[in-house]
Amino acid sequence: MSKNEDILLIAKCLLNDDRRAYTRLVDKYHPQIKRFFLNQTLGDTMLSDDLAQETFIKAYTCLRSFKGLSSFSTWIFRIAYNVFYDFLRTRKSSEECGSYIESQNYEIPSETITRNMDIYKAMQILKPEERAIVQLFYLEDLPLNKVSEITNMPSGTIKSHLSRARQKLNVYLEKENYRYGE
Amino acid sequence: MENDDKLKAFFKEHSQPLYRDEWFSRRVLHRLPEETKKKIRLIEIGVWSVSAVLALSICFSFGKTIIVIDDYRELFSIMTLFSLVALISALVILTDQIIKMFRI
Repeated sequence: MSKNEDILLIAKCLLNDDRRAYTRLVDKYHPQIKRFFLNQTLGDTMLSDDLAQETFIKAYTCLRSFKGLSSFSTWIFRIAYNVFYDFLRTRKSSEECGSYIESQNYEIPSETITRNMDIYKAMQILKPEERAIVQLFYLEDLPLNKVSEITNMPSGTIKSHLSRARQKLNVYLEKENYRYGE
Repeated sequence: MENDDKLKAFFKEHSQPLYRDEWFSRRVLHRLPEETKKKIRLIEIGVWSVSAVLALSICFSFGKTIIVIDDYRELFSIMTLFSLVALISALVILTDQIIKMFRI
């Protein structure tokens, strides 16, 4: 499905309140959005599913504000990013123990380490904002300007977050004796 | 740059595969707000009400002008009947719209 098809589906949603058209958009983009939340919540599937649903509901209610200047995928990632930060803010204000994600104990027994858990462990050493940027840049393979658009941060800030995250990840991977390509 | 490529390779190698959850879109669809549909219904009801009132006022005013002319009394009764039919259909349509609105 191309960008034009996305725009056509959005037009159908706006003009006829066509929910089938919106279902097609959800079908197309939900795997990426769910993966984004899975990495941000360090593998909490229930929470990721809830946040992903919230993202698509929010997107539907704000569909009129989509101007088509960026792709639908960038726009939906931006909403997902905001949904996650709203979630962190509400958690922070309701829990005294600080950030939900930062305070989470993520103990993984060594014998059950799977390939996904390697990512969660690596992500755990990063701050939430670094985690989001790392995911968008390294995992989703988005260029810096798109990451900047999604996170609403200047590219200089993105670069410094990436540099700090890179250092942390390198130290972590060296400590874990990770060999690239093995 | 080389480091970036290595990290990209790490993330690609260890990332969760993208899989499509067939029920996800249904769950989203189920939770979508119905506000838009309700707004459309309200507009429809408004339009129907205005047109019903207009139709009735045209019929009655036409009937009144006819009553002045005695010879056309028969026609007036036809017009009254027509007005009643219009009123009943308008009421039926309005009820239908209201039922639809609450069903949503």
